[in-house]
Amino acid sequence: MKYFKLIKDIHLHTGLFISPFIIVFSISALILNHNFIDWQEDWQEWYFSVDDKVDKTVRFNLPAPDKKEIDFAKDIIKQINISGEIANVFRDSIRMYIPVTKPGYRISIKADLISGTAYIHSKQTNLWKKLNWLHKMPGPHNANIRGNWIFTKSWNYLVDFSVILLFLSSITGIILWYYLKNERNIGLIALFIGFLSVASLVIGLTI
Amino acid sequence: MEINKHKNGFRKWNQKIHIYLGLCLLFFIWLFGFSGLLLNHHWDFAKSWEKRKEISYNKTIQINSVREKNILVHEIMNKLNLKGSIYNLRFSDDSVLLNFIISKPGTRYDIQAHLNDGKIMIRKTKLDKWEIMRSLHKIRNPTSKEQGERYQAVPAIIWSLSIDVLSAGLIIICLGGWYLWLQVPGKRFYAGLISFTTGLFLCIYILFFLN
Repeated sequence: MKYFKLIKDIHLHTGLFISPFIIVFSISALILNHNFIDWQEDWQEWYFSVDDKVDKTVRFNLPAPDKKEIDFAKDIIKQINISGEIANVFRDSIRMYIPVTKPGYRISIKADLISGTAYIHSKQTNLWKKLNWLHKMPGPHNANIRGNWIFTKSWNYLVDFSVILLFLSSITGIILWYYLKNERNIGLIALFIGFLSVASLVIGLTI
Repeated sequence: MEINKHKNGFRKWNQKIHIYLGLCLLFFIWLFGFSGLLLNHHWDFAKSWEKRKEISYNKTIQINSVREKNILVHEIMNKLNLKGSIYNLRFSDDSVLLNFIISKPGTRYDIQAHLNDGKIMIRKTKLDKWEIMRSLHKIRNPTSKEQGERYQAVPAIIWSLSIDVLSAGLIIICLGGWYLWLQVPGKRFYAGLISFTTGLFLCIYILFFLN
Protein backbone atom coordinates (compact mmCIF):
# COMPACT_ATOMS: atom_id res chain seq x y z
CA MET A 1 0.00 0.00 0.00
CA LYS A 2 1.22 3.46 -0.97
CA TYR A 3 0.68 5.12 2.39
CA PHE A 4 1.37 2.09 4.59
CA LYS A 5 4.74 3.36 5.84
CA LEU A 6 3.32 6.82 6.54
CA ILE A 7 0.40 5.35 8.53
CA LYS A 8 2.82 3.13 10.45
CA ASP A 9 4.95 6.19 11.32
CA ILE A 10 1.93 8.24 12.40
CA HIS A 11 0.81 5.38 14.67
CA LEU A 12 4.31 5.03 16.13
CA HIS A 13 4.94 8.72 16.81
CA THR A 14 1.48 9.67 18.05
CA GLY A 15 1.43 6.60 20.28
CA LEU A 16 4.86 7.28 21.73
CA PHE A 17 4.16 10.96 22.34
CA ILE A 18 0.86 10.41 24.13
CA SER A 19 1.86 7.27 26.05
CA PRO A 20 3.15 9.15 29.16
CA PHE A 21 -0.08 11.21 29.19
CA ILE A 22 -2.18 8.07 28.85
CA ILE A 23 -0.35 6.50 31.78
CA VAL A 24 -0.90 9.66 33.88
CA PHE A 25 -4.62 9.64 33.04
CA SER A 26 -4.97 5.88 33.58
CA ILE A 27 -3.32 5.94 37.00
CA SER A 28 -5.34 8.97 38.08
CA ALA A 29 -8.54 7.30 36.81
CA LEU A 30 -7.78 4.31 39.04
CA ILE A 31 -7.16 6.62 42.01
CA LEU A 32 -10.36 8.59 41.39
CA ASN A 33 -12.34 5.38 41.03
CA HIS A 34 -11.20 3.90 44.33
CA ASN A 35 -10.35 4.72 47.91
CA PHE A 36 -6.60 4.02 47.79
CA ILE A 37 -5.95 7.66 48.52
CA ASP A 38 -8.13 10.20 50.22
CA TRP A 39 -8.25 12.50 47.19
CA GLN A 40 -11.47 14.36 47.87
CA GLU A 41 -10.93 18.01 48.80
CA ASP A 42 -12.96 19.65 51.51
CA TRP A 43 -13.46 22.92 49.66
CA GLN A 44 -14.78 24.92 52.57
CA GLU A 45 -11.95 23.82 54.82
CA TRP A 46 -9.44 24.81 52.14
CA TYR A 47 -11.04 28.18 51.32
CA PHE A 48 -10.97 29.38 54.92
CA SER A 49 -7.93 27.47 56.24
CA VAL A 50 -6.06 30.79 56.41
CA ASP A 51 -8.33 31.77 59.30
CA ASP A 52 -6.68 29.06 61.41
CA LYS A 53 -3.10 29.18 60.19
CA VAL A 54 -1.06 31.94 58.54
CA ASP A 55 2.33 31.14 57.01
CA LYS A 56 3.09 34.56 55.61
CA THR A 57 1.71 38.10 55.43
CA VAL A 58 2.39 40.36 52.44
CA ARG A 59 1.36 43.95 51.74
CA PHE A 60 -0.41 44.86 48.50
CA ASN A 61 -1.91 47.92 46.85
CA LEU A 62 -5.67 47.83 46.48
CA PRO A 63 -6.65 47.15 42.84
CA ALA A 64 -9.19 49.41 41.11
CA PRO A 65 -12.59 48.61 42.70
CA ASP A 66 -14.43 48.53 39.36
CA LYS A 67 -12.50 45.43 38.28
CA LYS A 68 -14.31 42.13 37.88
CA GLU A 69 -13.85 39.83 40.90
CA ILE A 70 -11.54 37.45 39.09
CA ASP A 71 -9.36 40.31 37.75
CA PHE A 72 -9.35 41.88 41.21
CA ALA A 73 -8.12 38.59 42.69
CA LYS A 74 -5.58 38.13 39.88
CA ASP A 75 -4.16 41.59 40.57
CA ILE A 76 -3.72 40.79 44.27
CA ILE A 77 -2.06 37.41 43.77
CA LYS A 78 0.27 38.95 41.19
CA GLN A 79 1.36 41.59 43.72
CA ILE A 80 1.96 39.03 46.44
CA ASN A 81 3.88 36.87 43.99
CA ILE A 82 1.66 33.80 43.94
CA SER A 83 0.73 31.90 40.82
CA GLY A 84 -1.99 29.32 40.28
CA GLU A 85 -5.56 28.70 39.26
CA ILE A 86 -8.03 30.82 41.23
CA ALA A 87 -11.17 28.99 42.33
CA ASN A 88 -14.41 30.74 43.34
CA VAL A 89 -13.55 33.89 45.31
CA PHE A 90 -15.53 35.24 48.23
CA ARG A 91 -15.54 39.00 48.75
CA ASP A 92 -17.28 41.52 50.97
CA SER A 93 -16.45 45.15 51.70
CA ILE A 94 -13.55 44.44 54.06
CA ARG A 95 -11.94 41.21 52.88
CA MET A 96 -11.58 38.80 50.04
CA TYR A 97 -10.86 35.08 50.26
CA ILE A 98 -8.89 33.84 47.28
CA PRO A 99 -8.44 30.08 47.03
CA VAL A 100 -5.61 29.19 44.65
CA THR A 101 -4.68 25.76 43.40
CA LYS A 102 -1.94 24.26 41.31
CA PRO A 103 -0.51 20.75 40.93
CA GLY A 104 0.97 19.89 44.30
CA TYR A 105 -0.30 22.95 46.17
CA ARG A 106 -3.44 24.48 47.54
CA ILE A 107 -3.20 28.01 48.82
CA SER A 108 -5.70 29.94 50.91
CA ILE A 109 -5.39 33.74 50.85
CA LYS A 110 -7.30 36.27 52.89
CA ALA A 111 -6.84 39.78 51.57
CA ASP A 112 -7.67 42.50 54.08
CA LEU A 113 -9.08 45.21 51.80
CA ILE A 114 -8.82 47.93 54.49
CA SER A 115 -5.18 47.52 55.54
CA GLY A 116 -3.91 46.07 52.24
CA THR A 117 -2.46 42.97 53.90
CA ALA A 118 -2.67 39.49 52.47
CA TYR A 119 -2.58 36.51 54.84
CA ILE A 120 -1.38 33.36 53.15
CA HIS A 121 -1.58 29.72 54.08
CA SER A 122 -0.29 27.13 51.65
CA LYS A 123 -0.33 23.37 51.85
CA GLN A 124 1.66 20.94 49.78
CA THR A 125 -0.20 17.91 48.42
CA ASN A 126 1.25 14.58 47.35
CA LEU A 127 1.95 13.10 43.91
CA TRP A 128 -1.40 11.28 43.77
CA LYS A 129 -3.32 14.50 44.37
CA LYS A 130 -1.19 16.15 41.69
CA LEU A 131 -2.24 13.41 39.25
CA ASN A 132 -5.88 13.92 40.18
CA TRP A 133 -5.57 17.68 39.76
CA LEU A 134 -4.24 17.13 36.26
CA HIS A 135 -6.97 14.61 35.46
CA LYS A 136 -9.77 16.96 36.48
CA MET A 137 -8.46 20.27 35.16
CA PRO A 138 -9.94 22.40 33.67
CA GLY A 139 -13.17 20.36 33.99
CA PRO A 140 -16.80 21.40 33.86
CA HIS A 141 -17.05 23.53 37.04
CA ASN A 142 -16.67 27.31 37.40
CA ALA A 143 -16.73 27.60 33.61
CA ASN A 144 -16.80 31.40 33.67
CA ILE A 145 -13.50 31.70 35.54
CA ARG A 146 -11.73 28.40 34.83
CA GLY A 147 -8.46 28.73 32.94
CA ASN A 148 -7.45 31.96 34.66
CA TRP A 149 -3.87 30.71 35.07
CA ILE A 150 -1.74 30.41 31.96
CA PHE A 151 -0.70 26.87 32.92
CA THR A 152 -4.31 25.64 33.24
CA LYS A 153 -4.98 27.05 29.79
CA SER A 154 -1.83 25.41 28.37
CA TRP A 155 -2.69 22.12 30.06
CA ASN A 156 -6.15 22.32 28.49
CA TYR A 157 -4.59 22.70 25.02
CA LEU A 158 -2.14 19.90 25.72
CA VAL A 159 -4.93 17.55 26.85
CA ASP A 160 -6.99 18.41 23.75
CA PHE A 161 -3.95 17.79 21.58
CA SER A 162 -3.33 14.44 23.31
CA VAL A 163 -6.97 13.37 22.78
CA ILE A 164 -6.77 14.27 19.08
CA LEU A 165 -3.54 12.29 18.82
CA LEU A 166 -5.23 9.41 20.66
CA PHE A 167 -8.00 9.38 18.04
CA LEU A 168 -5.40 9.55 15.27
CA SER A 169 -3.39 6.74 16.86
CA SER A 170 -6.48 4.54 17.18
CA ILE A 171 -7.61 5.19 13.58
CA THR A 172 -4.15 4.44 12.19
CA GLY A 173 -4.07 1.37 14.44
CA ILE A 174 -7.30 0.12 12.86
CA ILE A 175 -5.86 0.62 9.36
CA LEU A 176 -2.68 -1.23 10.29
CA TRP A 177 -4.68 -4.09 11.79
CA TYR A 178 -6.84 -4.33 8.65
CA TYR A 179 -3.73 -5.00 6.58
CA LEU A 180 -2.60 -7.82 8.86
CA LYS A 181 -4.69 -10.51 7.18
CA ASN A 182 -3.86 -13.18 9.82
CA GLU A 183 -5.21 -11.04 12.64
CA ARG A 184 -8.42 -9.94 10.94
CA ASN A 185 -10.83 -12.54 12.28
CA ILE A 186 -9.74 -12.49 15.92
CA GLY A 187 -9.46 -8.69 15.71
CA LEU A 188 -13.04 -8.48 14.48
CA ILE A 189 -14.16 -10.61 17.41
CA ALA A 190 -12.25 -8.34 19.83
CA LEU A 191 -13.81 -5.26 18.22
CA PHE A 192 -17.28 -6.82 18.45
CA ILE A 193 -16.79 -7.78 22.12
CA GLY A 194 -15.70 -4.21 22.88
CA PHE A 195 -18.68 -2.72 21.08
CA LEU A 196 -21.10 -5.12 22.75
CA SER A 197 -19.66 -4.33 26.20
CA VAL A 198 -19.96 -0.56 25.74
CA ALA A 199 -23.42 -0.75 24.16
CA SER A 200 -24.88 -3.12 26.77
CA LEU A 201 -23.43 -1.15 29.67
CA VAL A 202 -24.65 2.18 28.32
CA ILE A 203 -28.14 0.75 27.75
CA GLY A 204 -28.11 -0.85 31.21
CA LEU A 205 -27.09 2.43 32.81
CA THR A 206 -29.56 4.66 31.04
CA ILE A 207 -32.83 2.68 30.98
CA MET B 1 19.14 -19.87 19.73
CA GLU B 2 16.77 -20.66 22.62
CA ILE B 3 16.85 -17.02 23.80
CA ASN B 4 16.02 -15.77 20.30
CA LYS B 5 13.10 -18.18 20.08
CA HIS B 6 11.72 -16.91 23.40
CA LYS B 7 12.30 -13.31 22.34
CA ASN B 8 10.46 -13.82 19.06
CA GLY B 9 7.64 -15.60 20.86
CA PHE B 10 7.31 -12.75 23.36
CA ARG B 11 7.39 -10.13 20.57
CA LYS B 12 4.71 -11.99 18.65
CA TRP B 13 2.41 -12.30 21.68
CA ASN B 14 3.08 -8.76 22.73
CA GLN B 15 2.03 -7.56 19.28
CA LYS B 16 -1.12 -9.69 19.42
CA ILE B 17 -2.04 -8.33 22.88
CA HIS B 18 -1.36 -4.77 21.66
CA ILE B 19 -3.71 -5.26 18.69
CA TYR B 20 -6.52 -7.19 20.37
CA LEU B 21 -6.58 -5.15 23.55
CA GLY B 22 -6.57 -1.95 21.50
CA LEU B 23 -9.48 -3.18 19.37
CA CYS B 24 -11.44 -4.45 22.36
CA LEU B 25 -11.07 -1.14 24.21
CA LEU B 26 -11.50 1.03 21.10
CA PHE B 27 -15.07 2.16 21.80
CA PHE B 28 -14.30 2.81 25.46
CA ILE B 29 -11.27 4.89 24.40
CA TRP B 30 -13.34 6.92 21.93
CA LEU B 31 -16.12 7.41 24.46
CA PHE B 32 -13.81 8.56 27.24
CA GLY B 33 -11.72 10.70 24.86
CA PHE B 34 -14.73 12.52 23.47
CA SER B 35 -16.50 12.88 26.83
CA GLY B 36 -13.24 14.25 28.26
CA LEU B 37 -13.33 16.96 25.59
CA LEU B 38 -16.97 17.66 26.44
CA LEU B 39 -16.08 18.08 30.11
CA ASN B 40 -13.21 20.45 29.40
CA HIS B 41 -15.06 22.65 26.92
CA HIS B 42 -18.36 24.40 27.11
CA TRP B 43 -19.51 24.10 23.56
CA ASP B 44 -22.91 25.61 22.79
CA PHE B 45 -24.30 22.47 21.18
CA ALA B 46 -23.56 20.50 24.37
CA LYS B 47 -25.04 22.87 26.95
CA SER B 48 -27.28 20.20 28.37
CA TRP B 49 -28.37 21.85 31.62
CA GLU B 50 -29.90 24.81 29.75
CA LYS B 51 -31.85 22.39 27.55
CA ARG B 52 -33.05 20.13 30.37
CA LYS B 53 -36.67 19.02 30.71
CA GLU B 54 -38.15 19.02 34.18
CA ILE B 55 -41.33 17.44 35.46
CA SER B 56 -42.54 17.60 39.07
CA TYR B 57 -45.13 15.29 40.52
CA ASN B 58 -46.26 13.85 43.84
CA LYS B 59 -47.08 10.32 44.88
CA THR B 60 -48.27 8.83 48.11
CA ILE B 61 -47.02 5.45 49.27
CA GLN B 62 -47.09 3.36 52.41
CA ILE B 63 -43.77 3.83 54.23
CA ASN B 64 -42.23 1.46 56.74
CA SER B 65 -41.98 2.80 60.28
CA VAL B 66 -38.29 1.84 60.47
CA ARG B 67 -36.26 5.10 60.23
CA GLU B 68 -33.12 3.62 58.75
CA LYS B 69 -31.88 5.62 55.73
CA ASN B 70 -30.70 2.71 53.65
CA ILE B 71 -33.83 0.59 54.10
CA LEU B 72 -36.16 3.56 53.56
CA VAL B 73 -34.50 4.70 50.34
CA HIS B 74 -34.60 1.27 48.76
CA GLU B 75 -38.21 0.83 49.84
CA ILE B 76 -39.19 4.18 48.29
CA MET B 77 -37.27 3.40 45.08
CA ASN B 78 -38.92 -0.01 44.76
CA LYS B 79 -42.40 1.37 45.37
CA LEU B 80 -41.87 4.19 42.87
CA ASN B 81 -40.11 1.85 40.45
CA LEU B 82 -37.08 4.15 40.12
CA LYS B 83 -33.59 2.94 39.28
CA GLY B 84 -30.20 4.57 39.63
CA SER B 85 -27.42 5.51 42.00
CA ILE B 86 -28.29 7.34 45.23
CA TYR B 87 -26.63 10.61 46.26
CA ASN B 88 -26.91 13.26 48.99
CA LEU B 89 -28.97 11.11 51.29
CA ARG B 90 -30.09 13.31 54.21
CA PHE B 91 -32.69 13.32 56.96
CA SER B 92 -34.14 16.61 58.18
CA ASP B 93 -33.27 17.50 61.80
CA ASP B 94 -36.59 16.14 63.08
CA SER B 95 -36.31 12.98 60.88
CA VAL B 96 -39.65 13.75 59.24
CA LEU B 97 -38.20 14.47 55.81
CA LEU B 98 -35.79 12.34 53.81
CA ASN B 99 -34.10 14.02 50.85
CA PHE B 100 -32.03 12.26 48.24
CA ILE B 101 -31.15 12.19 44.57
CA ILE B 102 -31.46 9.19 42.29
CA SER B 103 -29.25 9.57 39.30
CA LYS B 104 -28.43 7.63 36.17
CA PRO B 105 -26.79 9.00 33.02
CA GLY B 106 -29.29 11.37 31.40
CA THR B 107 -31.89 11.31 34.19
CA ARG B 108 -31.99 12.68 37.71
CA TYR B 109 -34.74 12.44 40.33
CA ASP B 110 -34.74 14.83 43.27
CA ILE B 111 -36.81 13.13 45.94
CA GLN B 112 -38.31 14.59 49.07
CA ALA B 113 -40.10 12.00 51.17
CA HIS B 114 -42.48 13.02 53.97
CA LEU B 115 -42.11 10.01 56.19
CA ASN B 116 -45.15 10.60 58.41
CA ASP B 117 -47.80 10.62 55.67
CA GLY B 118 -45.90 8.85 52.87
CA LYS B 119 -46.14 11.80 50.47
CA ILE B 120 -43.27 11.76 48.01
CA MET B 121 -42.38 14.86 45.97
CA ILE B 122 -40.45 13.98 42.85
CA ARG B 123 -38.70 16.29 40.41
CA LYS B 124 -37.53 14.46 37.32
CA THR B 125 -34.86 16.12 35.18
CA LYS B 126 -34.15 14.72 31.72
CA LEU B 127 -30.85 15.63 30.08
CA ASP B 128 -29.61 15.12 26.54
CA LYS B 129 -27.10 12.70 25.00
CA TRP B 130 -24.12 14.99 25.66
CA GLU B 131 -24.83 14.92 29.38
CA ILE B 132 -25.15 11.14 29.20
CA MET B 133 -21.60 11.06 27.81
CA ARG B 134 -20.31 13.40 30.52
CA SER B 135 -22.02 11.32 33.22
CA LEU B 136 -20.48 8.12 31.88
CA HIS B 137 -17.05 9.74 32.20
CA LYS B 138 -17.68 10.76 35.81
CA ILE B 139 -19.14 7.55 37.26
CA ARG B 140 -16.93 6.33 40.10
CA ASN B 141 -17.10 4.44 43.38
CA PRO B 142 -18.01 6.44 46.50
CA THR B 143 -15.10 7.81 48.51
CA SER B 144 -14.66 7.16 52.23
CA LYS B 145 -16.21 10.58 52.96
CA GLU B 146 -19.31 9.65 50.95
CA GLN B 147 -20.00 6.35 52.73
CA GLY B 148 -23.59 6.31 53.94
CA GLU B 149 -24.60 9.16 51.61
CA ARG B 150 -23.98 7.58 48.28
CA TYR B 151 -24.84 4.15 46.87
CA GLN B 152 -23.96 2.91 43.42
CA ALA B 153 -26.51 1.04 41.31
CA VAL B 154 -25.34 -2.35 39.99
CA PRO B 155 -24.81 -1.13 36.37
CA ALA B 156 -22.76 1.78 37.75
CA ILE B 157 -20.61 -0.65 39.78
CA ILE B 158 -19.99 -2.67 36.59
CA TRP B 159 -19.19 0.55 34.71
CA SER B 160 -16.70 1.55 37.45
CA LEU B 161 -15.12 -1.84 37.05
CA SER B 162 -14.89 -1.33 33.29
CA ILE B 163 -13.07 1.98 33.96
CA ASP B 164 -10.49 -0.04 35.92
CA VAL B 165 -10.22 -2.51 33.05
CA LEU B 166 -9.81 0.35 30.57
CA SER B 167 -7.13 2.05 32.69
CA ALA B 168 -5.18 -1.17 33.20
CA GLY B 169 -5.65 -2.06 29.51
CA LEU B 170 -4.32 1.31 28.38
CA ILE B 171 -1.24 0.94 30.59
CA ILE B 172 -0.62 -2.53 29.08
CA ILE B 173 -1.10 -1.13 25.53
CA CYS B 174 1.45 1.63 26.27
CA LEU B 175 4.00 -0.74 27.81
CA GLY B 176 3.53 -3.18 24.91
CA GLY B 177 3.87 -0.31 22.45
CA TRP B 178 7.15 0.75 24.05
CA TYR B 179 8.48 -2.80 23.75
CA LEU B 180 7.47 -2.96 20.08
CA TRP B 181 9.15 0.38 19.46
CA LEU B 182 12.39 -0.88 21.09
CA GLN B 183 12.47 -3.62 18.41
CA VAL B 184 12.25 -1.06 15.58
CA PRO B 185 15.63 -0.80 13.84
CA GLY B 186 17.69 2.25 12.78
CA LYS B 187 16.35 5.69 12.00
CA ARG B 188 12.74 4.91 12.95
CA PHE B 189 13.86 4.04 16.46
CA TYR B 190 15.63 7.39 16.91
CA ALA B 191 12.71 9.31 15.41
CA GLY B 192 10.44 7.49 17.88
CA LEU B 193 12.84 8.41 20.67
CA ILE B 194 12.24 12.09 19.91
CA SER B 195 8.44 11.68 20.08
CA PHE B 196 8.63 9.63 23.27
CA THR B 197 11.07 11.89 25.12
CA THR B 198 9.06 14.99 24.15
CA GLY B 199 5.91 13.51 25.71
CA LEU B 200 7.82 12.15 28.70
CA PHE B 201 9.68 15.42 29.30
CA LEU B 202 6.40 17.38 29.25
CA CYS B 203 4.80 14.98 31.74
CA ILE B 204 7.81 14.97 34.07
CA TYR B 205 8.06 18.76 33.93
CA ILE B 206 4.37 19.19 34.75
CA LEU B 207 4.43 16.61 37.54
CA PHE B 208 7.67 17.49 39.29
CA PHE B 209 8.91 20.93 38.31
CA LEU B 210 5.85 23.08 37.95
CA ASN B 211 5.78 24.94 41.22
